[in-house]
Amino acid sequence: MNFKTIYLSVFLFSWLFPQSGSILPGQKSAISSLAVSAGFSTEHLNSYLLQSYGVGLTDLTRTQGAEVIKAFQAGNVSKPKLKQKETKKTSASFIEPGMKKQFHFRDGSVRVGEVISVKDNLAILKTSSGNFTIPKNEFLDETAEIKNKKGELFNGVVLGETEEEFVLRTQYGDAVIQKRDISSMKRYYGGVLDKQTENKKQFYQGKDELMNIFLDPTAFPLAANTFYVSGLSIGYGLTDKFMMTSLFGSNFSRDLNLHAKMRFYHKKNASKEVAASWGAGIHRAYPSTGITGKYSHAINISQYVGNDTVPTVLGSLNEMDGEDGVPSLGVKDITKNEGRHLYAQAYIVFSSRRTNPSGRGKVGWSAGAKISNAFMKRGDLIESDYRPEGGPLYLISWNDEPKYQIPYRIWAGLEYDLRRDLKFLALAWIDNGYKTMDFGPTWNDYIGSDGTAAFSIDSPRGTPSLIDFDFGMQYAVSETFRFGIHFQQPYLDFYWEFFEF
Amino acid sequence: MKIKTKIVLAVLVIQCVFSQANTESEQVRSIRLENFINNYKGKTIRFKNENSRFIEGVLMEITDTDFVLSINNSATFYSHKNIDFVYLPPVADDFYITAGVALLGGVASYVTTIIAHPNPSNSATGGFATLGTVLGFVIGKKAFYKQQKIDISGRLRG
Repeated sequence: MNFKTIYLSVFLFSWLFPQSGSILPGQKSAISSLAVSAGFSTEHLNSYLLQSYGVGLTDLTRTQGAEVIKAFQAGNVSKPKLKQKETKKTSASFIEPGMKKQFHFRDGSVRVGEVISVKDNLAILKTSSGNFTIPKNEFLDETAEIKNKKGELFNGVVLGETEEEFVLRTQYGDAVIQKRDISSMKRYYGGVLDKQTENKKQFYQGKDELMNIFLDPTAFPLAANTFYVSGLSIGYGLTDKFMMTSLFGSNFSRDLNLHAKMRFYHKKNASKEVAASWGAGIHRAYPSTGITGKYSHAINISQYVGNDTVPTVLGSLNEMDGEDGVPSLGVKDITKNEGRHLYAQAYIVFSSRRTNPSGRGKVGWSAGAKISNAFMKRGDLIESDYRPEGGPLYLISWNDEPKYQIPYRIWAGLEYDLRRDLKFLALAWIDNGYKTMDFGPTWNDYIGSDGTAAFSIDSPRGTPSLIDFDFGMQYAVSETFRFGIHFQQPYLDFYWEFFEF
Repeated sequence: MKIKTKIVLAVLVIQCVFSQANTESEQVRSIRLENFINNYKGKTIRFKNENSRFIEGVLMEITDTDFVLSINNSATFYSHKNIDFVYLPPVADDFYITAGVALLGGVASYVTTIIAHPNPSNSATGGFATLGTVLGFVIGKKAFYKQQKIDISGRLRG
């Protein structure tokens, strides 16, 4: 028996009896996962471990860790009762006759009414449910921190609230703040920020003020000095009335473009905002294939059959996918001049937003119409015929139906605040250039793998759907980042704003 | 009447009279008037005077006691002492926007008709376009052609 033998024995024992050591990382994560599955919060788990073992999760031994895992697996662990943290809420510093608003009380109740008199320590509150005599110290103190658009910050007791204004008693006198000038606001009841009430039950407006409903503009432009980037475009608000955007996908393919939006009519009060805007966009080198691709369903492909003197229409270009006996023809096959030309579009849009009668945010609509010069000299854009190698001759022509005489889009959209951070959006349109597509082809169109420009939606494929609608949700992850999902292309939206850029 | 009873009664009366003193705030009213002149100077306003007659004119200035209105190109002073609400009647711009929405409604209906039917008759397109115009006008009027009511009182109530 020498030193080497003793050393090896000790080493072996240390492996055989390691259970008395501190808990293993794997055990910790297993306990955490099992606890979550059993409906335990971190507080519940810590409370249970302290009650059962006198230590927290990180201080358990491996044996104790194994016991806890077994207990959770066997379902022998019940949730300990947590001590409720009591927050002492402060009473209203003063209650005056004439105060009319939503009052919060110490027992958790909330009443909307007007204080009609204050005598001794009792206030008479007149509500739609009757008159109540309530001790003054039962009213919770209601304070607010309001920041207006000029950057001024007001802090004080809320004396009253009308549709138009908040009246605050600040340390230096009473302040009347018009709601339309409010940039951000926090309300405190009894000194405690009531997030639930503020964010879910009652909120002045959602985090997100829409400039677009999906891809169609509203009459409300981007705030001044704000930059945004979305999946298809970038933009900047030069003033509160005027903004510029650009489709970056087209810019990368030499088609530099600028789109302006100007609000020429605007009226706003606390409960309602209405506006009208015009917009115009110009592309210096718009590809011809972009137009023939977008309006592929308005291009007829015909063929002479047998000895017929009049050609038979096989279908429109978007249907020429090589299946069901039709030829496979692409946009590039029929576009005469793949050159680029000046492309312009203009639109007008009217929008209205008002406070939702339920008090939860706002509800609004927009309606607009857009036209472009896409059909100007459209006969020059396409070949008159096309013969594939070794194939028959196909005749190509524009559809002359009245609905394809002018490129247009007319839309009407709806926005509705479901929560402070979630909007429901719906849009209906009449568009003679619209084709509905599944998610797969839309993605290929967006990344450019279908031969069209990347970061743009201009595929020649899809099913024409001139009158259609779409709806979806937009979630404001933060004050600056929004993410949306809907059921027509482009299906997904994201939008990132940079204030005071 | 005993002196004690007199004092109690006097205190009660004084309490009743002066407990309502804060219902109106002069400070709040003056701020509202200042906001009002900042927001609506040069615009046409309308209010009901003490004789229940509506006065309408272009707001030029507000003094401590009066509205200064331009009526038929002459400045006229009206006391705003007992006026709590002022109205902003719709103007020509509001009408043009309403007409724009009506036109949009008409165009949308016309386009829908020619898309929905390959060869619609003139009476069908005309009928639907008229219907769309009327609907657009109703929606536009409701949204854009409305009188605004502005509170300039000192009351802390909605």
